Amino acid sequence: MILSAVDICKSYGSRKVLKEVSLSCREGEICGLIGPNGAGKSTLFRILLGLVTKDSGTLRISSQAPKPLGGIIEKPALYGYLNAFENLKVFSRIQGLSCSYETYRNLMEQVGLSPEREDPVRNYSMGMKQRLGLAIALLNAPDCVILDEPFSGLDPIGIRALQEQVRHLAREHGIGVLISSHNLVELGDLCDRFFVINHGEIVKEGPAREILQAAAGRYLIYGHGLEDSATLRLLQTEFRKGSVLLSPGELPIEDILKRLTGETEVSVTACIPQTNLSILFDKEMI
Amino acid sequence: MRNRQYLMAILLMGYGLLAQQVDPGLVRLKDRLDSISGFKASLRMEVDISFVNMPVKHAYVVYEKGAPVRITSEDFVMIPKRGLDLTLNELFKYPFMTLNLGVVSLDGRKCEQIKIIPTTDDSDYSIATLWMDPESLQILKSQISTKKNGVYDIIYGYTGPGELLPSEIRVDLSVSGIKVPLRFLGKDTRIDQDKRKEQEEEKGSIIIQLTDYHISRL
Amino acid sequence: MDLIRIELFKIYRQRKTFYAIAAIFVLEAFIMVSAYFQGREFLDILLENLRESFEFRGDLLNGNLIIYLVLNSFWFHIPLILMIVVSGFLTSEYKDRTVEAVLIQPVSKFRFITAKYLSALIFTLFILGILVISTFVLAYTFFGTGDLVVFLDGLSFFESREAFTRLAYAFVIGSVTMIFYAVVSLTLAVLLQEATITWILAALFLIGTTLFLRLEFESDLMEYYFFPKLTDSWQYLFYAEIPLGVILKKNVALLLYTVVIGWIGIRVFQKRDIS
Repeated sequence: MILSAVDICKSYGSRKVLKEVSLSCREGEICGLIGPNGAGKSTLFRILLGLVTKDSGTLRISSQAPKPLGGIIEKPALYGYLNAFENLKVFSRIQGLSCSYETYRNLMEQVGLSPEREDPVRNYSMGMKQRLGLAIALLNAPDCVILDEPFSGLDPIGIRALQEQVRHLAREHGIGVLISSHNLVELGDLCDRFFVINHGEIVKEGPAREILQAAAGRYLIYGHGLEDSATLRLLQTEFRKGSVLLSPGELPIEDILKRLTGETEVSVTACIPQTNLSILFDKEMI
Repeated sequence: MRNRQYLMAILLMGYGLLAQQVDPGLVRLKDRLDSISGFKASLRMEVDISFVNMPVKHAYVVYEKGAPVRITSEDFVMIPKRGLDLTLNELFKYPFMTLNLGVVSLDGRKCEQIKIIPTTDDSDYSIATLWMDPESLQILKSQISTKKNGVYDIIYGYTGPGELLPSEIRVDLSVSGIKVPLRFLGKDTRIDQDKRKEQEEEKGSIIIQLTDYHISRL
Repeated sequence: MDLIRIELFKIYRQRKTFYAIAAIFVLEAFIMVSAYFQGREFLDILLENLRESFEFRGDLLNGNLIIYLVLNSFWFHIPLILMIVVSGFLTSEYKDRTVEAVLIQPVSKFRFITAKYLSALIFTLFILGILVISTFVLAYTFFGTGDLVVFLDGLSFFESREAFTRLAYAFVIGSVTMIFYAVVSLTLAVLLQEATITWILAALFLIGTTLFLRLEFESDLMEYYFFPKLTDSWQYLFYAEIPLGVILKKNVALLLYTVVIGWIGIRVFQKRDIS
């Protein structure tokens, strides 16, 4: 376990922001922290990164690296009047790191930035700033990287590119990644494990797929001939153009899909679970 | 009646004649000083006025007969308006009459006290008094009441009885208090209003030492 | 040292630093020109009564007087600009959130904020240094050298070489005051974090100090330990007899204030969460 936080509590005055929050992250694992706005995600990440002091709880970081944790909180904070290379230089020198030009160049290429670009960072798009922020987070080879809402402000291409980066970091470099968002779509396919936070408490944790499945209320099925399906006629459905929104009820979705594929007039091209947010963010009753 | 008027006129004329006579001792002194066609000397000047702090200054004086005294210096210097007229040309420039007040003692030295009264309104002084050593023909002290610049008391010091020109001059004068340009004052300056009133008219002096004389004589 | 170098690099690379330097030099030029015109008036008033009894040789309206008049004007305008610029070194980092980004790296808050203070001092001394050099060069080039006359504990005349020495030391002493203001502005930035409020309070602090400076206190305690009264000890260098003991006492006290205020800023920064 690279990172382990146990029973973290934080209050601002009488307002309890975090209530006995525990989470962890292993090498090469991508953990998602999902929660609505104001759930406490950023506060928790600030505590993990040492920017905010916790009121109680323990935080264990099992790493001998000079920089165990790297991270970005919300939007990447960069020196807008410096160019990318200078930003990397400043942030590396701040931590006593002296890198060669080649090292910076490789790092920039690793995150998909052009080393030839010399204009100040204030001219960069949000996507490029995120990449640079990630490059800075990766300076000094941390064992774990914490990314707080890294997809906000990115276009779909940018989101896809960043997801690839994150996957690459975890799979190829064995870096543990803790990533937060309020948007399931961005994290759904990316994370190995989920921690769901609401009102300052972890309400669910577990393998990402299981969490999503448990919270899936309905399914959006794409295909042909769906309106004529006998199987669907028996279920609670809402037909749309080329798709149907299905509430499976007692029947498992796998069985429904099997039956649909058994019907000759029907072909299914996609099945997308629709997460029920109230189920997702509700506290699990033990 | 007419005889009495004639007598009065003769007496007045006689008195006038007597007054217009320039004191013979002063004439001898004047001749001696007139023999100087020019001189140069180094000056060391020390200002002694309570509210003025000025370091010792050095200057150079050049005199040529017929021309005003010239003072030159590399630094800023304050020259008293009276005192450096060592040949007394400024006094003798205008027609005058003298009045010998007799022999007095000045710092243990016997000297003749002579009043010099200009007989023209053009002069810039109203009356001057000289204390002269008749044997060495040296001016020991002078007091000049100027019309516009107050009274100057000048004391002359010589290295020896035969010296023509003094080696030291002390000019005592009155200086009005400083006008304080409040707008430009430093932050820490305190203006003591009572003290200012006391200092309306302040006595001060300037001591000038003359050395390295080069005297040209006729 | 690396951190200080990085801070200085950041200061150097920001456009606003050069705007501030340009503003300071423009201000200096204005002050010098007005000092020249005021200088004539100053001398005329000051020497009016002496003119009745003396003739003057030499011109007192020279470079030394200009520098002296500039010196008198320096201690409000320049600290004001400096306080705005120096506080901006930190408030801009709060605004851009680069404080967070830096402290996420393995660097302690103490080292970061201490480097900020030290680089602010270096910047202040650098600005003062070029100001002093340019003032002396311009004043002597355009107005020449000569005796300096000042009115403090009487009318004092200083010969050119001595005037130069006193003026130079006055700037050195005055730099202690500038350092004090720079540290105050940075501490205000730590406490307030937001740029505009910091500027307002910095200006208020400077104005308040200047006003208190002019107040007369009967007590030695106030005279030697109340900080507004410590900010103009350079004036003593123009007394006929320089009271070195007084200058030393006041500047040591001012340095102590500087250290304490700096320490407060560092402690608050260390204790506070970055959020």
